[in-house]
Amino acid sequence: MWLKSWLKLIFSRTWVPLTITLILEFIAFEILGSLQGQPGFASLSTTILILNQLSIFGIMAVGMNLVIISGGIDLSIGSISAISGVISALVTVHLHIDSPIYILISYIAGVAIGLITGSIIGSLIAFIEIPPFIVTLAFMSLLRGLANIITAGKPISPLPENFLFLGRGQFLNTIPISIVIFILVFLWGYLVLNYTRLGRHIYAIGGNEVSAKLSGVPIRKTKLLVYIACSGLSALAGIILASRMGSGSPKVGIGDELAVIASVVIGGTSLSGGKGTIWGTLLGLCVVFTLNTGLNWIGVETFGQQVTLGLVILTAILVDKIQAKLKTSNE
Amino acid sequence: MPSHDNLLLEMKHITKRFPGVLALDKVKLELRYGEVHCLVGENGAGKSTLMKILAGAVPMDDGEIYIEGKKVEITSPFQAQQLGISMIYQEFNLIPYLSVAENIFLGREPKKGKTPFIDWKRMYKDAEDVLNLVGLKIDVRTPVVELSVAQQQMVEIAKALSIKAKIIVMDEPSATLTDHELKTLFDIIRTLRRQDLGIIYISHRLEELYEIGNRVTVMRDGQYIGTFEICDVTREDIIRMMVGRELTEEYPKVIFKRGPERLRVENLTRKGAFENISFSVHAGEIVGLTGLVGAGRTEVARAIFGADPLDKGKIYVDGSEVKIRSPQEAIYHGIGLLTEDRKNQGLVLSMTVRENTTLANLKRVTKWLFLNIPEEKRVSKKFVEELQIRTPSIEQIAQNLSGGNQQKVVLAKWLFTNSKILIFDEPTRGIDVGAKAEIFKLMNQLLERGVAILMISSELPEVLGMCDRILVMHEGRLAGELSREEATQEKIMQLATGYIKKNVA
Amino acid sequence: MHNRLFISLISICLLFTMGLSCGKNETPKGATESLSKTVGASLLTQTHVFYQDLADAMRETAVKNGLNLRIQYAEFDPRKQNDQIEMFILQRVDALIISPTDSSGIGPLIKEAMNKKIPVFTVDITAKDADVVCHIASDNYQGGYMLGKFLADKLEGKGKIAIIDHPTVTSVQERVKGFEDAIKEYPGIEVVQKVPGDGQRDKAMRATQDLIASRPDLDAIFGINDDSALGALAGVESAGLQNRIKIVGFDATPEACNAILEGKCLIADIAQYPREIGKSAIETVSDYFKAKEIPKVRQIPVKLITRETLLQERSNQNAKS
Repeated sequence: MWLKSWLKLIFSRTWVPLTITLILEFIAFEILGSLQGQPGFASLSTTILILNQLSIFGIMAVGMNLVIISGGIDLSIGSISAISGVISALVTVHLHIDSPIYILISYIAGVAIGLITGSIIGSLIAFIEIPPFIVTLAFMSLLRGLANIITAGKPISPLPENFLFLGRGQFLNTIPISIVIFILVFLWGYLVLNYTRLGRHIYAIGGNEVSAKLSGVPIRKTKLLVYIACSGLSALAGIILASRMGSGSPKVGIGDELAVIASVVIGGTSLSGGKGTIWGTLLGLCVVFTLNTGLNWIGVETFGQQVTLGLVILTAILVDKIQAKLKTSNE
Repeated sequence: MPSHDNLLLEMKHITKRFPGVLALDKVKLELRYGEVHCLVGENGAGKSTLMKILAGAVPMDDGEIYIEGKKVEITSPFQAQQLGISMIYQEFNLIPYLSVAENIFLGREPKKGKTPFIDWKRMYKDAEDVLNLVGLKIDVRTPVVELSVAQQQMVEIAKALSIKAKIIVMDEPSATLTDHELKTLFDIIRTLRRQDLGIIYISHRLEELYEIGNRVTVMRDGQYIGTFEICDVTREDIIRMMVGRELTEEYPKVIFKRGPERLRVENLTRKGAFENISFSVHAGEIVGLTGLVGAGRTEVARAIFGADPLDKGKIYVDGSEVKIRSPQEAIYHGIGLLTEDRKNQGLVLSMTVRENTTLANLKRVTKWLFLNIPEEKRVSKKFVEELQIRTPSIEQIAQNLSGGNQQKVVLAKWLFTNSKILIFDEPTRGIDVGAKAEIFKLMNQLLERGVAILMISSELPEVLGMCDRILVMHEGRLAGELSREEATQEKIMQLATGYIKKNVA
Repeated sequence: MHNRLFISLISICLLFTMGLSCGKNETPKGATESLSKTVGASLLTQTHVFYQDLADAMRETAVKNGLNLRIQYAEFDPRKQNDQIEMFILQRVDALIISPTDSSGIGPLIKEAMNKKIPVFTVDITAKDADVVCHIASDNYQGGYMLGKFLADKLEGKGKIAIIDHPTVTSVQERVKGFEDAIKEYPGIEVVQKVPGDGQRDKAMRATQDLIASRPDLDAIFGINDDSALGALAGVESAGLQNRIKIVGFDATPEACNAILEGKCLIADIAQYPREIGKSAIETVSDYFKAKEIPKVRQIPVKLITRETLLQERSNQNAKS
């Protein structure tokens, strides 16, 4: 009996098992690292490293969270991040002046590409009513191809020193700029989901599109905005990535959409829509990226990492099932 | 030949506790051979739980079950099936793209000898035989998705017969049937009764009990109230036992002074659905819109609300013509639609009571760019009190509320938009007697505030009881209009079946 | 909602404080670990035989030299490589070995490491715009030169040659340069055309078919890697010109070696020694720790493969067994 009540406590909310997992990850990698003569995993500098690497995915995950809560999916984000990085790098190289104003123009160009693509994807989904899975699958391939064509398949580099600011710069010489941007995007997502009409409409559409429509929720406008936001944020992530790499590569971000979707789902957002929080997504990201960095830390190689990530996703789904079971047995 | 005095099924002292609730408290139920035993009670009285225990879907905490005098333990749905118990739920368990025969024999397909291959010939033949028993004449190779709701129900019953069920439980079988289909269903039930099967029949429509039932068992709040021969109790007795108090009036109609015209429609046409529909609704009155299922009533409502496009016609709100091309525009003009299917079209079940209440008019709780959550909570609490919505808190997920309370949340949503014109589509479907009266009282309060109500309903007693004027539709056209004074069930049915035509002014 | 927010915040703060307190316990490195220095390596991929051999040799040599080696694989993803190197820097490894996924983008990261006093070595692929301690790779120029010489001899001093090129890759540029330098020594032979094949077999085949159509007098083709050479072979055979046109390739993959053995018109190839590269890389790092003089570039010799050398190898093997 006490076991059951403990289980209930642990599984009653999404954040409990996730936070426990996160703490366990830190402890485990600290111990495993120490055994290999490599202590210091659970340290501030590692945490900043993890947050830094997570920030790019996190920016995309905030957008993806909106899309999935609205009952959709976006598979094109990896390709969007690649093409926006490429465009932004190209513009910088062509302007050929290393001054902040020109760099800003190239950043804006990259984001603009994301917003334009987002409006096309969003329009196809909202107005022509093609399933999001198919539209974004097509765009995943289409944009990747375009990025390769524009660059003839090779990275655009070297990039001017000022361009590297977003990816490599630091705020007050301590916190990487990319983390600051992620925090801003995260707060934006939190406000949108919890304190705006748009957010409420997103939950309503994901929960029950017919009811939402009959309650006067502007379905098409909401969907359009959701995909524009997701694409725009992915473009921003792509620019930060290019800035961190020091090159606009058409090859980056392959498979990113899966890592991002996994993080969002592990964070408790339902793939069928209508359910999910931004805090869950953050925890999901932390769990996945701490694992990622930790496995690198203790020297697990590519193949082992693939297996581990798969296991984590499966576990998350099982935990979700257990939660649902406990909830029904409550009634 | 079993004697009719022997019991086919006996459930004794059935007790079931859920955390914090005593769902069933020493309940008993008896079923004779060849009997239609009606089980009635308000939502939450424990009928479903009792039936789930019988079907092996929920374990009981205490009690005994005897089938044909032998004590049995039912631990799984499969075992219940083995014991000859078959459930026909409101939502059918048929697989849409499989054929009728495949559905009937799903999981028990006849094999060719000892091979693993299906003996299709035998399966089709057996399926035809069993369909003959229920009098359904269709090709057994038809995919279930192509059948009407009534036909699907017949298939479910055929399936029950094919597994040699002795006890058939029907949960609200009449809810989605037209009158004609209902008549066929009753014919089948009578046939089954003659074959000494026992039928447990759950329904909210008390008049059906008198047509088909032998005995009735009443439950309330998880308690067994009593079992009676149908002929010994009156409708009022049953309602009193279900609700536990004297219902002063089933239809608490109040006649208000007819105010100015709120809504007028002229020559509304949507090809294939309805034609030349013209009527008006005034402040302070309820106009009923009735007719047989499929006459186009819901379609008219959806078109006025902007959910479906119109081919022709004009809509006037408060005397001036308006263009309504979407629900947003309808809401802007003060029109609200309470759909028939609350779960799938009225509420977002995954959202809370608070969120559902404000969904149609979030602008009203928006300050600058952001939602004013404290204000939203205040509003939502106000509605919960005003409409007496029974919920533990405004943060409760709508899914967890009972049908009547869900309907009230939908109503709260439209009150929050300040709707002047409310369209109720089957407002009491699936709602128990006590909650029905509450909904009607709320309608009266709305009328008092100057709201105009258009009420779509198939339940003639409620149309007669609550409406000031009654419009009857037949095959997409208005067949006639009756005033409260002149309307009777017979007149409505004559108009609805196209037996007589009466011109509408 | 707010409840959840609050608790999430607390848990994140908890993590940070936990991180901080652990961070203070970090033991200073150096004194106790002078015997076993740690080397971090971020290699291109784990899925190619070439890199598997290279990594195996690195591990074996590291054990021999008492070095603690940690290998990560970037799988062609510049971001992954970036993450791996950043983590090595954080772990304060004593040296870094990188085979860049993106020659031109890796520069800033190498500079960052060098600034933090971590010496960086590159293997197989060079890094542009960055100064590394040493670059260890096959001698591509030599390989190209050897192929040029061999082919010129076979053509007996005169003929027309085309190259199936992939000019964006530095190692390929070196191969082509070596090849052309050898050809220049023979006035009767000229390189008449260079066509892009992206190092892919199907593209190389189509390029070859176009070449044959436009230049009926072609005598030989140099494919810059074996996929290019095998693509060219398919193109030549489909045109039925296998008796006139000679092909040379690079890398000596088993498939190419078989073609050479079978006496097809692919007549020569260059074998690289990934194991030698891996071994040399670790030895170079070890030398660096011992403060020995180190060259800027270490080129690992390559070997010309022809039908004769392959037959020789086979008889040697038979003799052994």
